[in-house]
Amino acid sequence: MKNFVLFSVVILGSLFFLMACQNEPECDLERPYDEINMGFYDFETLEIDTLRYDLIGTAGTDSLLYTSADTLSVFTFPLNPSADTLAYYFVTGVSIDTIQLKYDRKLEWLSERCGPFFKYQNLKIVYHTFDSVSVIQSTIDSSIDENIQVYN
Amino acid sequence: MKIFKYIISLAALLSVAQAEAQVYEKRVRDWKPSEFFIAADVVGLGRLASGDVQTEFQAKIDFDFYYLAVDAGRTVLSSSGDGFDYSSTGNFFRVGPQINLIPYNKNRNVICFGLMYAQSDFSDKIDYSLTAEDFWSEKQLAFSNDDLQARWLEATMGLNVRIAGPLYMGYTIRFKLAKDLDGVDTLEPFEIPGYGEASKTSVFGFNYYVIYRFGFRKKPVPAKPRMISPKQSEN
Repeated sequence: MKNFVLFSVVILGSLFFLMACQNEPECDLERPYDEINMGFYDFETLEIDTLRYDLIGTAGTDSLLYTSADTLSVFTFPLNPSADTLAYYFVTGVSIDTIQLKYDRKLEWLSERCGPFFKYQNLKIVYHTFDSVSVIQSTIDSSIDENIQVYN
Repeated sequence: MKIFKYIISLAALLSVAQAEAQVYEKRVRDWKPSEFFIAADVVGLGRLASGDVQTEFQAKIDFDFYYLAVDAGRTVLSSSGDGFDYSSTGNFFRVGPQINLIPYNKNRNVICFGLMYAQSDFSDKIDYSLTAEDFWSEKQLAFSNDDLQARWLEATMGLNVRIAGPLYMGYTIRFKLAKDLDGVDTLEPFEIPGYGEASKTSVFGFNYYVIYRFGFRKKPVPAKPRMISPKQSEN
């Protein structure tokens, strides 16, 4: 009986110690990546191109993604947590191009304290008006340089 | 040095010969049940402080040196934080055999090893806010899983010690593995009732039980089998 009580105390103490030592993640640092990178290429030369649009926008927000002040070769776009598809609009003075994307989203837990965050994967193209578009990497992760290549 | 080697070889030969010459006395199996245990887990009570409910009970009956154990429990948990309000409710059960590793203990204490099949049926829901800090407009989202089912296996090691009369106390350490979860939509569940964190493929569990023993027939503690010669065994 005495041994059992002592043994129980040791076991319980060890368990509480282990529970206390569990690593709690840094909520903001470890949240899943929620953006994709789109690289623009010249359709004729297949060389990476540097572009400037008058504006780039999407439905579901009043904010603009890019304006004429942004001249880039690779554009980064956020994915929409409240929908499984979304479309980006690329506006110049003479044309509007569209690309519509589809993806899987899961609300995954980082920890009980941090709560869940959206994790996206399996990126696909539904529709576009560019000359050619292809998904290079369907995984959505900060280590991916280019998810989609656009030839125009 | 050679003599030393001969002595070791001789000793080894003698021990093998001794082992061959003697066998354990044949024991008469007693498969008729004699006792029934009801146990209540007290570890779950610790969760009441955070407003969660975790109740768990175990019943087991003996067959010779073996037990058939059945566990059942219920979990109601809620968790809220910055931009989310989550709740989950469900039931679970486990069933499986256990073997008593110290059947000759005079105090009827038990150390047992067991294997169990476990299943949990539960549901969960969350209210999730997109804050103005995000790129997207402020929005309230709601997701739920109405019909979740999880199945897994457990290897258990437990200790029960007689405290007084029919009252026992004990604990069980569980290794839970081979989890399979069905019915998940956009929201990944945080916890599976009876299993633990849903995102983990294997977890350890711990139960501390207060146990009551119902004995319904007298079954003497069996004597340890003696070593006897094969001839005696045939008789």
